[in-house]
Amino acid sequence: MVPDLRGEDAFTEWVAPHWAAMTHLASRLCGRPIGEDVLQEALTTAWRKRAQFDPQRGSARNRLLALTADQARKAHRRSTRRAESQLIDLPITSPAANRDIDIDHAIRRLSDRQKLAIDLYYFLGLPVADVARVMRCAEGTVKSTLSDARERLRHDLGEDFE
Amino acid sequence: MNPTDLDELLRQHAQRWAEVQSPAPLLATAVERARSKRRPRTPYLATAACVLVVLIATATFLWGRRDGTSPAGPAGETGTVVGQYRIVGGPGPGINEAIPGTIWAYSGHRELSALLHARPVAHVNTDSTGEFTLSLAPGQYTLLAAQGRSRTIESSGCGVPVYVQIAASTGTRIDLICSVP
Repeated sequence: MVPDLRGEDAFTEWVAPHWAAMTHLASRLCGRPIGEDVLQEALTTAWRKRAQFDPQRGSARNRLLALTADQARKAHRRSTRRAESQLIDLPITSPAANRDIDIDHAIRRLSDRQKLAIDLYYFLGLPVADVARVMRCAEGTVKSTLSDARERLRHDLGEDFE
Repeated sequence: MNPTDLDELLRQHAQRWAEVQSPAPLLATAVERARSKRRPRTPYLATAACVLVVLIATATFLWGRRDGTSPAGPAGETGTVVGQYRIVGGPGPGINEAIPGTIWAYSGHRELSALLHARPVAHVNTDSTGEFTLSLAPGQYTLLAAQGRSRTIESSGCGVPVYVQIAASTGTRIDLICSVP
């Protein structure tokens, strides 16, 4: 059954369960200041295209995360064109701060597709099938992308990590 | 590092990352912003509109020049000059026949020297029988005929200017003669 998302309240109710996941993905992909813009753009696109949502073609969460990933990719292209430097938002309050910094640096050196797969799978905890829907590819592609990403992380973290 | 170690390491890292994240922005405010934000108009539409305006203006200008309409005369206040461009003379028995060409109109009665650098107010191509019709605002004009688009100004021969007086809503007939020895 197609939900009626015409009203603002219905739309808010539709987005609410997935808002935190969208926020986390935007923050993971773009960092905090740009991530907030990306999040707002994704929500604006979701509002504008709310009539196109078809639950038969995918869940609300996957659609909203896909829109967030799309906006993050556009923001990344814009920032690349403008050659902006981006401050990396790293937590330094945990005991494993140094280790986390190494891992974050290694993740940021991955390709955009590999990074998106890692963020969706590990940081948002999506199953491979849902990662595939958000990335609009086959599950096998997600598995191989994750495998390649892990291989590269293993190589980058290397012996120093032990 | 074996695969399990890295897998577990990434999960722990993700968990620590999530613990220090700031809370999500207020959804209601974001929805309100999304609702009130107008879709930006694509620049292609504006560009297409500008190109269309330029094309229409150019077409209108060229159409007016093709018709030989004087830009000075408002509608209803023009007169017309009609005539034929003919070539006459030559060695006996001689020729006297219509030829195609272009008729140029200059404002005022101008001397040959003044025509050299003058700018015509209108021009028209004759048809295949040498006939032409030119609409002009009332006033005095100097007409010059030429075969093709290049003007030749002469005191005798083929490029002799002809003076004409145009009255409002009146037709004036005048033939332009290319005289060859």
